[in-house]
Amino acid sequence: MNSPAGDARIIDRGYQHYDGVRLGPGHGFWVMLRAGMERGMGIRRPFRTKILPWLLVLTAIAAVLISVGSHEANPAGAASPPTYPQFLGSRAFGLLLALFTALVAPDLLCPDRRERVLTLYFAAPITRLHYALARLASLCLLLLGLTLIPPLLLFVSNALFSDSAVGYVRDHLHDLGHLVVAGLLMALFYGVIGCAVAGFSDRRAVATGSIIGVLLVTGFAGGVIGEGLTFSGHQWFVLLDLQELPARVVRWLFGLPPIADSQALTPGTLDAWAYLVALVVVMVTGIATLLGRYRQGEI
Amino acid sequence: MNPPAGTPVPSASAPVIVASRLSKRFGRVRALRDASLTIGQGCTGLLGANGAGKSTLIKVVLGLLTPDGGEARVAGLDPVKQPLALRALVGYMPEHECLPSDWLAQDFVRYMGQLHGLPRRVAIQRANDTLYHVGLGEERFRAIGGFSTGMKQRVKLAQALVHDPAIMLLDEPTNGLDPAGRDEMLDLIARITHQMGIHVLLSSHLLADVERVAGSVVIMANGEIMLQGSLAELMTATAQVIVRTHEPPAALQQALERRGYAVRLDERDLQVAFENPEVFDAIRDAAVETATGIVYLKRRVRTLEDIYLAGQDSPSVPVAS
Repeated sequence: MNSPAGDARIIDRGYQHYDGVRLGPGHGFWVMLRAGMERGMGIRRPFRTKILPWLLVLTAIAAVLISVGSHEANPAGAASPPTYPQFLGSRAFGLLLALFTALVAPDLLCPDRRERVLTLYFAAPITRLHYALARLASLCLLLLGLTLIPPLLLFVSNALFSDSAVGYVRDHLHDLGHLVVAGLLMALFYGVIGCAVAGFSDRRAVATGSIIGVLLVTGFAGGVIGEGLTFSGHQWFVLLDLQELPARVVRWLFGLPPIADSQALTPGTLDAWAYLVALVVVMVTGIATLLGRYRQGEI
Repeated sequence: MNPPAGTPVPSASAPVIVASRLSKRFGRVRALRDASLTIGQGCTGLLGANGAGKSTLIKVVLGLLTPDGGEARVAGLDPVKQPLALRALVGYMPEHECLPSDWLAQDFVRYMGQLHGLPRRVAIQRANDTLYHVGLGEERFRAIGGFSTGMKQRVKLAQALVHDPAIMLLDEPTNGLDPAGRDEMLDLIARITHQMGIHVLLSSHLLADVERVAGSVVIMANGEIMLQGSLAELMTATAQVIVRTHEPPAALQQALERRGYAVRLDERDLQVAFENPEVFDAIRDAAVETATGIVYLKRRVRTLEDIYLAGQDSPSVPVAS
């Protein structure tokens, strides 16, 4: 004989009204920020969406580990690990950041516009400003992971392989501060450029191409005009090279001359403040462009 | 329900939405022209052809669009000045496709609940319950991109319902559905109104949909409100007496018009507005006076379709209270 509970079935759960707490727009912002970070790294998404972002992160980490490991294994034969400004300011690391930005920024912004999900988001108790800033913050925090973790790993490795780890940390504490500031600046810089450009397209491929294109074209223009030509004031055009801007600021942060590889080609070097001002101008313009793009428009 | 602090909930008798002389222009197109309306409790149908201004009206009362003129109140809140408090109280289901294809249904509905202020755990629980209520309990862990049109409409409804709104604005919820899907969607809307006690503004160009679930109706054309009121009142107020005569009815028509009745000639029949039962006496007297033989006369209660067509044809149709 079946027990009464064994025969029981739920026919209709009935609709339950909600009497609990309701959180404000700030909560919506954090929810959107977290969702953006998860989306950027392919979390709660199909496996194919996880491959590229994680590959780029692992590449940066692997570069540090291989460099430190090979030097420690063969101190005489292998090249020394890069210094912090060398690592952060290298073209290779800049390219890695550019690729990550070009991959993730379109994924955060384009589908919402293409699939018209913005209508639903803007019908929730959050503003357009919340949306744009949450997306920007998601990208910047992901980029921050990329700009902080590998150099911090380099710092820790250097400390561990030094004669005295405590002594190394004590002597290089200023480097740690510079690493954090440089990481923040670079993450914000690439994040702003990525979101500002991606906000103009509803197609991921177009946005990805546009971000890479902007960085390449400005780099080409800055190189050709700023360093290849010799008219009066030509050196100011070096500032057009967006990808070089953070690298130059990083060198300045660490107390090195701001011009990197091109120093020999540039007779009239610019002062560090020029690069810093240019970096800030680009970021302010980018944020204004992004917010302007989402302030009005189709819903 | 417990909306955010300071957010009013419509009282038992208060109108849910009140709009006064709303206007909205897109370039040279006037999408809303001095639209004034009062929407009461329960389910109200917003009827109109495509391009009549229904979606624009909904977006204005939701605060998604700023009107060029006029004002509105939704549960006492101003959509222009208090859009966030208002949206916490309202669930919105847009007309067009608006779902992210690579999200799982449960994830997206949970996410929309969180955006509307629900804590994460509550949002997860309510997302599951809401998807169950709209008939997607088994499919809630599937990606939305693989859903049929009917299932997507249900997800759209679920995301509008997950935060337990006081008011739902549903824009063409039966769009693209086959007859069975349409039937189920209308059943759901009826449940939302009658069992869940949520006030619904249902925008549609399908008369049958509105007639089936709505107690009141607002008819729009060219951005104007043509008619509004309860369906029962409108059908009674627009009832007619049809009179067929042996002779040409012109003399009878004039005699009735002299008595103050609104009369319209429709091919060979006279349509006399049924204002009160005395109209039958007036027709008899006028027929005697003009020596007109009456073949038959009958009272006709107009259908929603008649009301809709009358509203579309004549912007001057008086607005029922």
